[in-house]
Amino acid sequence: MKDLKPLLREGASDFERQLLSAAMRERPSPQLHSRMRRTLGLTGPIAWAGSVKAMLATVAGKGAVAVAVVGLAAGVVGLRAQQAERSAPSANVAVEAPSTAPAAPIPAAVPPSLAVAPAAAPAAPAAVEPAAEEPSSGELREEIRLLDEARSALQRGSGAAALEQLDRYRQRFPSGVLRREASLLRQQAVAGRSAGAAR
Amino acid sequence: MPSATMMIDSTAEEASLGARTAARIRLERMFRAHHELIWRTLRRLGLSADLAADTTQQAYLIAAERLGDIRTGSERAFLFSTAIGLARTNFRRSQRCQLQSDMDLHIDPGLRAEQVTNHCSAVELLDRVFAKTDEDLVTVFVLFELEGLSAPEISQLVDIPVGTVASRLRRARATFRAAARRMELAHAAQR
Repeated sequence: MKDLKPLLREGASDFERQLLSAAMRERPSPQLHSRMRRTLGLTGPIAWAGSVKAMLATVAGKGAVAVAVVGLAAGVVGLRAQQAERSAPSANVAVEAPSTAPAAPIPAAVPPSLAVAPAAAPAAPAAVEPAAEEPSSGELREEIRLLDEARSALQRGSGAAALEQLDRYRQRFPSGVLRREASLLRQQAVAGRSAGAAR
Repeated sequence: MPSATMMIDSTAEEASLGARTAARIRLERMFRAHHELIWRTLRRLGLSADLAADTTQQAYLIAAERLGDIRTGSERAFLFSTAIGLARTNFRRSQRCQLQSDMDLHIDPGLRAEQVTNHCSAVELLDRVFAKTDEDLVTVFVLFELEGLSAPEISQLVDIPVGTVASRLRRARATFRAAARRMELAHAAQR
C-alpha cells in the first residue's frame, strides 16, 4: 500500500484517465456554492448569530427540515433520519437524539427531484463567487489577523488600540467577509472607550 | 461611573462576541478546506449535485451546532462521517439504484475514449461504473484516487484499519478498471 500510487499518476489508460480527471474537476456550481454559504451564514448579508437556530431563522428555504442533533460524541456520528415521502411538497428530515434541545426548524433546501442534473460545474475557480465573498486565503488570513488583534486589544481593555486596528481593517477590507464581525467589535470598542471616559 | 452590573454585562458581551467571531472564522475555514471533498464524495455515492450540496450543508450545520465538541484537527473526520451518515439515511440505496437504472436508459453505453470529451458525460460514465459498487469501496476509491488522501488518512477518516483500506481499494480498482474496459470494448464491437 505504501508504494501504491493513484491511477492518474501511474497506470491509468487514456479512457480511465478521462473519467477520473473529469470527476476530480467536478465542483459545486456557483449557485450551489453560494446557496451553501448563505445557509451557513458565511456570506455578508446574513449575520453570524452564534446560534445555528437563530441563523437559520433568517434564511428562506424551500421546505422544512426539523433537526435535533445529538449523540455526536468523539467524532462518531449517530444519526437517525426519516425523510418524508418524495411526493410531499416539503421533505422532513428528523435527526433525533436523546437531547433536551428542542428541534429547530431549518430550511431544507432539499429539492424533491433526485434526477441527476448537470448542476455541477467543472472547475472554474475564478467564477465561483464574487470577489467580495471569496477572498484569497491570504486575504482572509489578513482579515482574521486584524480582527484578532482588535479583539485582543479589547480584551486588554484598550478600546483605542482596538479602534486603530478596526480602522486599518476598514481601510483594507471595506467589503471584507468579516466586516460584520468588525462592525460588532467596533461597537464594543466605542462602548468601552465611552465607559472609560466616564470613569 | 458605570455600575458593576454594566461592567459585568460588557465583559460578558465582549467574551460572547469573541466566541462568536472565533466560531464563525472556524466554520469558514472548515468550509473552505473540506466542502468540496465532501460534496464530491457524495456525488460519487450517487447523490445529485443538488442533494449532495444539501447534505454537505446539513453536515456543516450540525458541525456548527457542535463546534465546541469537535477537536482541532478532527474537523474533516467529523464533517465527513456526518455527511456520509446523512447520505446513507436520506438517500437509500434503492433510490440510488433506481436513479442509476434511469441513467442506463439515457446514456450511450459505448462511448469511445476519444468521445468522452464532454465533462458531464465522463462524470456520468464514472457514476455508472460505481452504481452497483459497494458504497464502502466507492468511498475509499474516491478518497485515494480522486482526493489524493493517503491510506493512513483514509483509515482515520473512515475509521477502518489501513489493511482494510488497501483491500477495499484493490476491489474498487478492479471493479472500476473492468467496467471501464467493458465500456471501451462495447463500443469497439459496435464499430
